[in-house]
Amino acid sequence: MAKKRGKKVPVGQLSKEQQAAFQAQLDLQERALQMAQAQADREAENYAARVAEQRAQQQAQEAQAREAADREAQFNALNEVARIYSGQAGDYGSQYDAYAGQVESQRQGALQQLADAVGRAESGIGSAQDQFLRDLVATQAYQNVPLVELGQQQNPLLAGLAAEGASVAGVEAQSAQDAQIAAQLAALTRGAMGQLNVGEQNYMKALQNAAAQAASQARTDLSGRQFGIGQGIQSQYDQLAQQIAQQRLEAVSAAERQAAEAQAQAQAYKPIEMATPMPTIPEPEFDYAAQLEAARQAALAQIRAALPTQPKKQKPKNATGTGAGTTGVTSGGGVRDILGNLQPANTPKIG
Amino acid sequence: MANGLAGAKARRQRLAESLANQQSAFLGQLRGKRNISDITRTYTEGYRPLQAAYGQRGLGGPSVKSGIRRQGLAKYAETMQRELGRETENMQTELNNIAAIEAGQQSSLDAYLNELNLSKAQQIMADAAALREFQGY
Repeated sequence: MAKKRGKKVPVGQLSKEQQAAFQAQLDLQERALQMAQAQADREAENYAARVAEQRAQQQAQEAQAREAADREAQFNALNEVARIYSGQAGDYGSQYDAYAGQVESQRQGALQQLADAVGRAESGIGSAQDQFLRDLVATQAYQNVPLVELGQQQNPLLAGLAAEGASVAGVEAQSAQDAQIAAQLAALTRGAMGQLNVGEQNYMKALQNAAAQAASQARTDLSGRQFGIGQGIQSQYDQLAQQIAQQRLEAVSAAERQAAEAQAQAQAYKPIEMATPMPTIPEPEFDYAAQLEAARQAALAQIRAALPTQPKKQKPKNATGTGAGTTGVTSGGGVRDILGNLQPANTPKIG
Repeated sequence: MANGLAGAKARRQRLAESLANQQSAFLGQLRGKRNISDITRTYTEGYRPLQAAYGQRGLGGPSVKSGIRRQGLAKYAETMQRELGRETENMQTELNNIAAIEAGQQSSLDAYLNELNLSKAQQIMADAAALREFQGY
């Protein structure tokens, strides 16, 4: 703001022309001060406007930087989430692959156990058959049965009959008949024992055959059972392996899907291009002296331009030359001289 | 021979039966011999009274040899022979029956033990074939 510094200078000692010129000089100086002050005010306003504009841009840049930092943090966090889920997918895959390997190992173990059990069963069947044949009682119950064939009793009356002259033919006939019947009965019993012995031996063979058939049937059953159990083992472990594969697929897919979702979300927070930071506006350095001198020169130039131009007069011959311009205040020439004598050094300092 | 308690019980029972058979045979033989002895004694002791009876009827004596008397004595001796023969036959039949029973009982025991063994072997084979430790499959 221009400061009113114009002050009436006591001009009692000066001539009127000098007073007028000095007053003009003071007015010019006052005018120059006002112009310089106005110029400084304009520059200050310009500076303030530029500063405000730059501050607004800087605030915008700071907001953008904060947003960029937030985006970067979000971007990094989501990428980290994606990386974790990707890692989980790999871990799930490894874990389920290990499970699948264990299942396969258990399947082979079960099949091997089955093979071992079948081997033991075959051995057991053979051993049972052998043991039965060893324990089989080769019965001789109907062999060498102690059958008796009793001889006929000697009749003690035969001697008496002979002495009497009686016939012994009846006694002998009866004895012969009894002997025949006894022999026949004994033969019948021996025949029965023989037949029973034949039946007994056939029964022995039947027992042996039954054991052989039982062994054969057991081996057939064992073979069928082995096949069925093998199928069951395969089916059960196939089912288990399928379940593991399904679970693996689901787990890995879920983790990969979550990783993809996180990556997709991260793309929305990709880093943005930052504007080039605004250069800092240097503080203006107001050289009021230079400003005032420039303003004074400008004011003088305006004044000179505004002054009426007069044709150069011939210097009167009688002129005493008491002083240049002493008579030119109204003509303009004196003022020009005064203006021409104005020196910057004489310009009063502005506080 | 390993056929367990049932086999041991059967063998023990068989031993008792065998002892009973031996006792029966002994008693049968004793009874038969006694009967034969009784028949022999009875007829032998009755022979002289029979002779005397023919004498009293005038059908016999030191110098008389009647046909009726001779025929009667022969008939008497023949009857005695028939009874001796029947008793001998009875004794033989009884002894042989006991022997047959003994053989039959031994045969039954052998068959029982063999069937026990067969059943056991069949069970072992069936158990082996069943593979019960793989029941879950």
